[in-house]
Amino acid sequence: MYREQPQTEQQLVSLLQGGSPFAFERLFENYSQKLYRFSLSYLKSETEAEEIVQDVFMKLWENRHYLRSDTSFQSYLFTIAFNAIRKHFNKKSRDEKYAASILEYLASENASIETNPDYELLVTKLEQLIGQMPDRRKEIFMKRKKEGMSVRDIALTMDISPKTVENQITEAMNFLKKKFQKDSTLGMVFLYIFQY
Amino acid sequence: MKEQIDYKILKNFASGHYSLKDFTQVSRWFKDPGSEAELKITIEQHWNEFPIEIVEGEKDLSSVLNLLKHKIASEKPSVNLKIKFQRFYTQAAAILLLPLLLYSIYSTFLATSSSDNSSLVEIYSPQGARTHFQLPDGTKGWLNSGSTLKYATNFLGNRKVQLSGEAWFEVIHNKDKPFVVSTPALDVQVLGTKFNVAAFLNEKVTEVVLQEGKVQVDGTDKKFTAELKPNERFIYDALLKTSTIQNVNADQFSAWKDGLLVFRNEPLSEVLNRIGRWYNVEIVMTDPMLQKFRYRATFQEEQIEEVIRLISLTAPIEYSFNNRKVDDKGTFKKRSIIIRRKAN
Repeated sequence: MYREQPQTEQQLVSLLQGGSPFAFERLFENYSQKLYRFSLSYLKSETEAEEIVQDVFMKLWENRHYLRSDTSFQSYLFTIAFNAIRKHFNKKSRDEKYAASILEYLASENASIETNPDYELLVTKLEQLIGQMPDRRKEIFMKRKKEGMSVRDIALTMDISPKTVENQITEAMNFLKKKFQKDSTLGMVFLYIFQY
Repeated sequence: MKEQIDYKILKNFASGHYSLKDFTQVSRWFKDPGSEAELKITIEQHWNEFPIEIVEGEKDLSSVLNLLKHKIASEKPSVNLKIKFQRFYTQAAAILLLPLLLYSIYSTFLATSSSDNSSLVEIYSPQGARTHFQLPDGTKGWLNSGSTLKYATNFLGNRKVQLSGEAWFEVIHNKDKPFVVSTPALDVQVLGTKFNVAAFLNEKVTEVVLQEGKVQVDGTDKKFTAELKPNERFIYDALLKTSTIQNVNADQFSAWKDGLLVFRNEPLSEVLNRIGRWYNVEIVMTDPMLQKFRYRATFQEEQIEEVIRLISLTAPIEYSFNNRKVDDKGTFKKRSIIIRRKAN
């Protein structure tokens, strides 16, 4: 099929420019792992990191005619990747950001929440605590905070009064406030150490 | 407002050691258009330092690569590149067909008047491929080879899809908005459930097989109506104008979405028909007597040569493969297989 095996990246790039699927595949093999892990580190989601790899390489192929062998390929690849990562990062939906907004609120009562160096652990703790809530309260709380449903819609969907909805949400927040109080951060540090 | 972007904070964020305050700051840097240029420079610094070799295990990205290869191969190539593509991918084609997650979503928008709100989105699964899809309401499913699914852009208000071919649906429950699959002969109305619908244009039979949940099947012009329970198969024969309900094992009918080719006591003509569709190969059967052989089998990830060979072990057939030819316009025709009855 191909008489010589291209060695240098420059040769691969120029073959790719000519539309060589072989060169495309070699470049994919060379860079996909790094691109995946890099994207994963910013987006924190394996699915999204895979999508980035797909989007970037697809774009690379679509624009192959514009490739220039005098500029750095890695730099060019990075430019495509940066735009994709930024777009994905900003597209984070409400239900992905709900934990951050709850913790922001709790931080107003306990400043150490904001500076605690292991944010991801705080999110885990928050999710665990929500899981401990009684079923109905948990449902109401998640509908409001994660799905963003209005109090009125929650009341209608669950066939309860809006006042009940509000009370349940207040109870839930009080519970969380108590658990995240200043003196219980000691408990979190303990948990943190234990995990290591 | 242009903020100073802190490389250390970015790096810590990427490595998982960050506080809520860091996270808020990083989010702001990403969001603010004024910071984009500086953010890019800073993150590029990180990229340049990021190791290319891996210490821990590699992530399997072969499905991504296969998808890309499929997309590349299905582009309309310019004349002189056609041969290059075909030779490179013919080897891969048989492997590409079965075990893959082909995520080719291809939309066409047909705009009509704005008050009409009827721009259509179309999802098409090419011949020889299965395509996974997801609808705006979260409903997921698989489109079989050569099938098309269409829905309007106001889908969330009116959950109706049009199907030509075969699809498997996992419908999100929404009791206020029933989900309707419309085929030429009948409509299937569901609340939340898993089921398979097969309605191929050149076939005179439409089938619905229910795995979980409850569906209602309504014939066009109110010709008939039926409610299905799990593991029931509804068959409507457009020629005989009959409808039948059978009890079946629903898994067998949706096995195609997992890459399994399953035959349940079907006549050889039907078997070859489905194999032809699955592998995108034209199969010509010259002897109608071969119809009386019935097959019950499951094939997983086999190449077509192997499948035909296995069938020939128990049916008196001879076969020959005509490999891809180019017609006078320069387009490749499908492979074809001729099946004859074995003499004596």
